[in-house]
Amino acid sequence: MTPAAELDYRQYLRTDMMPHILCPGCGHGIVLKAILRAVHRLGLPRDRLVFVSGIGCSSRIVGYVDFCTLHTTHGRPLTFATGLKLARPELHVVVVTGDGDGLAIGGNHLIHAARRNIGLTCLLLNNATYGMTGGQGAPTTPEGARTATAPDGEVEPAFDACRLVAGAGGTFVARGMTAAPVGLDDLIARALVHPGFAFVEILSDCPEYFGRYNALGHGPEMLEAQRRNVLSVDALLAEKRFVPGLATARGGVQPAVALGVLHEARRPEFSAALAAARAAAPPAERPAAPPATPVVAPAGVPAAPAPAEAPQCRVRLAGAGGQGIVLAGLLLAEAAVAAGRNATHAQAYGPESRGGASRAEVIVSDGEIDYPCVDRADLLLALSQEAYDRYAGEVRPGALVLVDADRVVPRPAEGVACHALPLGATATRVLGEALGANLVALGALVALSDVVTREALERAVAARRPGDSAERALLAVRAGFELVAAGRR
Amino acid sequence: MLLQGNEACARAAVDAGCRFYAGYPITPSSEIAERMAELLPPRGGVAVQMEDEIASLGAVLGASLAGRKAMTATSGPGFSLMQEHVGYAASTEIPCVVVDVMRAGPSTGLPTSPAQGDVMQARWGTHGDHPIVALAPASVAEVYELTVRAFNLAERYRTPVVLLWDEVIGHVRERVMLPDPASLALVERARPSEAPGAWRPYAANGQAVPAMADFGSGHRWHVTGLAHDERGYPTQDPAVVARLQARLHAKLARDRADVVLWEGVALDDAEVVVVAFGVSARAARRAVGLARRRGARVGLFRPRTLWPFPDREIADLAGRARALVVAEMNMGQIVGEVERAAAGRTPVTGRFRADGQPLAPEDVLDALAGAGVRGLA
Repeated sequence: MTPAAELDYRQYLRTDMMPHILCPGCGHGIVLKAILRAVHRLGLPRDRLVFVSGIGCSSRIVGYVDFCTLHTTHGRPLTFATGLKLARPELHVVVVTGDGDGLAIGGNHLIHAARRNIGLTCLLLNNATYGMTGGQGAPTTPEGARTATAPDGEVEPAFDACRLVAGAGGTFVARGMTAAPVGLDDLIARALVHPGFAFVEILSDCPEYFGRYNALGHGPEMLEAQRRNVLSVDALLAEKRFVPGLATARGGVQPAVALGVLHEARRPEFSAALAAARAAAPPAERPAAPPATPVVAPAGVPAAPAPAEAPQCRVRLAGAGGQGIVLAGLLLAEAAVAAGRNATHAQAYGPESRGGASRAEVIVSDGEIDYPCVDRADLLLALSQEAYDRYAGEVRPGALVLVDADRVVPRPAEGVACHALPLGATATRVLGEALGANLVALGALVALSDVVTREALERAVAARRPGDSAERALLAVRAGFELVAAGRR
Repeated sequence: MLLQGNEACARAAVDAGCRFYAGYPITPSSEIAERMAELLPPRGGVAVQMEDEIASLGAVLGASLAGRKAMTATSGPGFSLMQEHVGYAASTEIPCVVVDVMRAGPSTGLPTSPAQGDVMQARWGTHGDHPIVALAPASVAEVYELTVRAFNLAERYRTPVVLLWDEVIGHVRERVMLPDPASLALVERARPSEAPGAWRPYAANGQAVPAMADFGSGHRWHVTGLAHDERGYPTQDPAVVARLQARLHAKLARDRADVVLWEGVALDDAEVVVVAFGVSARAARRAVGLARRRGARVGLFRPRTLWPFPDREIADLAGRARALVVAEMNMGQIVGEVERAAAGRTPVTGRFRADGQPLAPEDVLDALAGAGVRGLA
């Protein structure tokens, strides 16, 4: 460690980017120097330190320091910083943001970064106004203060940034001020080494706008006013011989504040927690990496239409959400593919996870399937009256329609073979619950149509439902076969 | 195997070297997030669910700066939220892949229904001018192929690449044979060969695309969405800004054949050509097959790249075909590009459908009949 007094700040500065854009009397330069003193004192490896900022006067200060620096979009520096930290947890990622950037447009990201306890250092420079755009009101503007957008005085209450972050789960929360620069670098150093989301609100000043609009004087007068508003300091700042002001004895546009480390807690840092969860996952729950796939070029859509179309069997399965329509379609398509045929499976559904309408469309062919949706079906399964009413008219001449006799009253239709079978009742008889009606229906549909062989369907069912569950599923499917056979006998 | 479009995207991303995913749940894209959450951690990657789509793309850009290939996936409403960061990625030249599984809009629209209404959002969703790459696969196998391609283009040109497909392509399961990942030709962004002090981050050195250093690798540099000079420093110098704009636009135009992909079906003697992409092209393909078997001389032009738009190819077709018929699931988006490229040399008509249903082959046959193709009934 090098004593701060010996620090030549220029070694950390991009002097070729100067002059800087900050106004005379602005407090942000004091913060920048405090950051550099803290970094220097800790001896952090320079190439492992990344500064990320948003938009605003405070966010500009990262450009002037010679590290990897990322000047992002308004309110979003914490999102970029989260990606950087998760991608390379060994980096020290410091976010420099302002009160508008961090608490208004970016407030959502702030509370979620705190909730995750991701290992970032977030320095929020609070000058109670939007300086870069001309002194408009901020979420930290004190009630009663005048701004460019509140000429009669701000009526909205201000955020207490530190209580907000502590409440959201931040594990290091501190407040400093530019009027106490020596204590400020101590707070920043503590934040930099904290393993988790570390947040320091730094009270800074904007004499150009906030000071002018509220007759608070220039930089020195505003610094003095900061001191007067201090209610209390913690031991760390007391050691720096920082004396609290007279906050209780006066009113004024700035609220009384406590300085120092206001909240500290220990819980797992986010990227470490992710790694630990992965390590602790029992092997059975850990998804296996997909097996090596066969070495075949991606099957594209062939360039020229075939001279004659390969026959297609277009199947529409329809019912209510929760009846297992999509699964039945999948089993049918898997049975076809496992038997060496071509198949597609498309699904349509409403926003409900249970209830609502559900539809699956399966096309089975021995050739290319150009269009993967079923416009008019060769086979229709309807497990609800609503599904039947909706789709009974959208079938091809010679189509086969299968409905659950207990749920659907079909209408006679010319050129269509309609089979009403007790699908749900059969599921209840075989399995003790109506839930397997989709599997009974699938068995019956295959037995009626030979869209795939019974053996292929049984193999697909067994492959998808291992163990006891496969036995029960096969019972239901075979009951469907038997329903058709009994009807024929 | 039978694979879903969205699942094929996740598999392809991982095979292409993607090791970071950030996203926010939205129908009909969520399967991509779910598969990435399974596939990435065993490979040393990270998948994270962020608080919104703005944060998702922000995190992706941060991870990409740290040297990871990174992706997010969303649907129309989330893509709207991401636009500012799409522009940021274009300006700062941070490689990233953004998937938009299109659903019917505007606004919340029909969350579970397909549409193709985000073509113009992909091109012009941000403020200001910048080129963009948008690829539009029409099958599960092509989702795999073009997702790999998207990462390669993002890395080679340091640009955001948008993958656009509709809910049908996202959710359809088709029989595919995936390639051995080891057989894929993968591209990595160029990293600087100069020593840290000698490197100028945005100096192209005669190339269209400057080399890019990973944050934390020893090359210290500044990244900003402000107009910047070759050092990456903010500038308002008109000449420097104009040079940056010109280079950003030139870098994609230079290797057009690498970026602009398309497929033609039965174009050689086609008198009327359907222009369609995504699932609409599947309907058109069926319609063209049916029409050909009835003796009609029709063909299909299918853009696989939507941006940059294959305007030269359309211009060439316009010089040969009697009519162009554009079929798309929106109220008319690429039809304007086709008209612009055709430049009045041949009539361009559109068949649009924006009711949440996929275009049907009958819709295309009807449009062909409207364009004067006989004998289709």
